[in-house]
Amino acid sequence: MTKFTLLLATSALFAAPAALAQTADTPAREAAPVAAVPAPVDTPAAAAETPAPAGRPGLVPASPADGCELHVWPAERMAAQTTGWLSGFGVIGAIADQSANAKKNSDHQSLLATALDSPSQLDALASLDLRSLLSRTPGTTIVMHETPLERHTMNKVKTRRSDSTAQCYSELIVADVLYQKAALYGRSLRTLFMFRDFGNDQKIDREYKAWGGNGLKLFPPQEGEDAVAALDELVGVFKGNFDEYSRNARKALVAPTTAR
Amino acid sequence: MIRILSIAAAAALGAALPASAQEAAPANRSCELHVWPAEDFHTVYYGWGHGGTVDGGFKQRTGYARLWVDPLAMKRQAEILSAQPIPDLLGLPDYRMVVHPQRLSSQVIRTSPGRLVPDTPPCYAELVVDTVVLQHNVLHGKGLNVIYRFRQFGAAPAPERTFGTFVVAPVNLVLSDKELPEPTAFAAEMERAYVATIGEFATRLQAPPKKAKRKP
Repeated sequence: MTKFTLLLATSALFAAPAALAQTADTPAREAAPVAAVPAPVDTPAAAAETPAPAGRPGLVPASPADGCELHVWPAERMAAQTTGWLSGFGVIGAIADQSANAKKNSDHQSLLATALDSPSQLDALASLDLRSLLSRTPGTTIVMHETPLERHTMNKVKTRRSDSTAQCYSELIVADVLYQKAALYGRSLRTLFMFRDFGNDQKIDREYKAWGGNGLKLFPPQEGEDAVAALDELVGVFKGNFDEYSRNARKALVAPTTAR
Repeated sequence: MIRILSIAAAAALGAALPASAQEAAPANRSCELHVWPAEDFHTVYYGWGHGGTVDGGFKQRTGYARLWVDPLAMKRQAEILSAQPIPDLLGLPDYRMVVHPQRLSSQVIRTSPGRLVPDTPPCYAELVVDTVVLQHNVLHGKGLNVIYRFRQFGAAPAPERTFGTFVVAPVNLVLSDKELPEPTAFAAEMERAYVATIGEFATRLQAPPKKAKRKP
C-alpha cells in the first residue's frame, strides 16, 4: 500500500491527478457559433446511424435475475509517467526528467485514452466473469454506465451513484489508469478500482479500493511504427489488473463488517 | 464471439453504406478504399499538479482549456477526408475512395477480423481514423495525435496487410481555461494539423518495414 501511495504522490506532483482542481462538470461540448471554415465537399444528406457496438453478452444473468444489480463505471483520468535516472537527483532532477520526457508522456496519455476509452474499459470488464470475481450472486444484473464519474467526487459521495432502487445493489468504479515507466522497475500499467456494496439501502456496507498493476512488454509503441499489438496489450493488462484487484477484494471482503 | 461481432458490424455497415457513404472518385475502378472518420476529437492535458482528465476542457473542469468541438467533429473529418487524395497518398492510385460519414465503434474497429463492409470487391482496403486527440503538455506544447488503422484485403477473408500507428502533428494554438479561442483560427490550425497527419501516416505506411534485429 505504501508503494501505491508513493506512486500516487509522485503522479500528483508531476503529472496528471487533479482531484482538488476539479469542479462539478457539465458535460457539454461547445460548438462554434458559425462554421469556421467552409466545407470543401458536400456532406451526405442522410447520415446513417452510428453503428451500435455489438452487445455485451453476460450483463443479463444466465440464471434467473434475483434483483441484485452491479453498476460499473469506467475511468475518466489517464496518466502517463516516464522517469529516468535524473529523478533520483531531487526536485531539479525530477523537473529535468519531466521536461526530457514531456512529449513521451503526452503521446502515451493519448494512447491510453485511445486504447482504454470508456467503451473499451467496459468491454474489457464485460468480457470477464464479474459475478464470480466480485462474489456476486449468479442472478446479478450488470449495468454498464458509458459516462465516467467525475474523479474528485468518487470518494466524497457515499451514497449510490445511480438512481437504482434495487434491494441488492453494488458498484464497481474504475478510478484511475496509470502508465508508468521507471528506470529501475520498467514499464507497467496500473489501475485503481473501487468496489462498494450497499445492500438494500444508501449506506455502504463494504468497500474495497486498491490498485491492480502488471508489467508491459509491447507498450509504448514508437510514433509511426505498427502500434496495434501494443494498444491491444493495454486492454489485456487492464483485464489482468482487474483480476489481481478482484483476488485481493475477495479476500478483503470476506469479513462482512470490514470496510476499507 | 468475434464472429458474432463481425456479422453484426457487417450487417450494420452494409445496410448503411448505400445512403451514407460518399464516393470521392470515378466509379469505374474495381478496387475500393473505404475510409472512416473518428469520433469527435478528444483532449488530454498534462500540467503541473493537475491534468489527466480526458476531455477536461469539454467537461468545463477548472484548469482545462476551453475548446470548440466543431473543427474536427466527425462530420467535418469526413469532409476533410473526402477532399484529400488518400488513395494516391497511400500508394493505391487505382482504388476508388469511399468515405463514410459515420465513425465505427471502438469495438468494431478493434475486434472485426474481416472486412468492415461486406460485398465489396476482392481488391479492397480500409483506412479507419481510430481516435483524434489534442494533447497539451505544459513542458512540450500542443500536438494533434491521430491513430490510424489500415487494412488491405485480397481474395481471402483475412487481410493481407494490416498497419496501425499514431502520428503527432504540432499545433500552434494559444489556449485558455477562461475563454474559447477565436473560432476561425482555431479551426484552421486544427484542420491543418489533421491533414498533416494523413500525409505523415501515408509516409509511414509506405516506408519499408524495419529489419528485425538479429542476435549475433
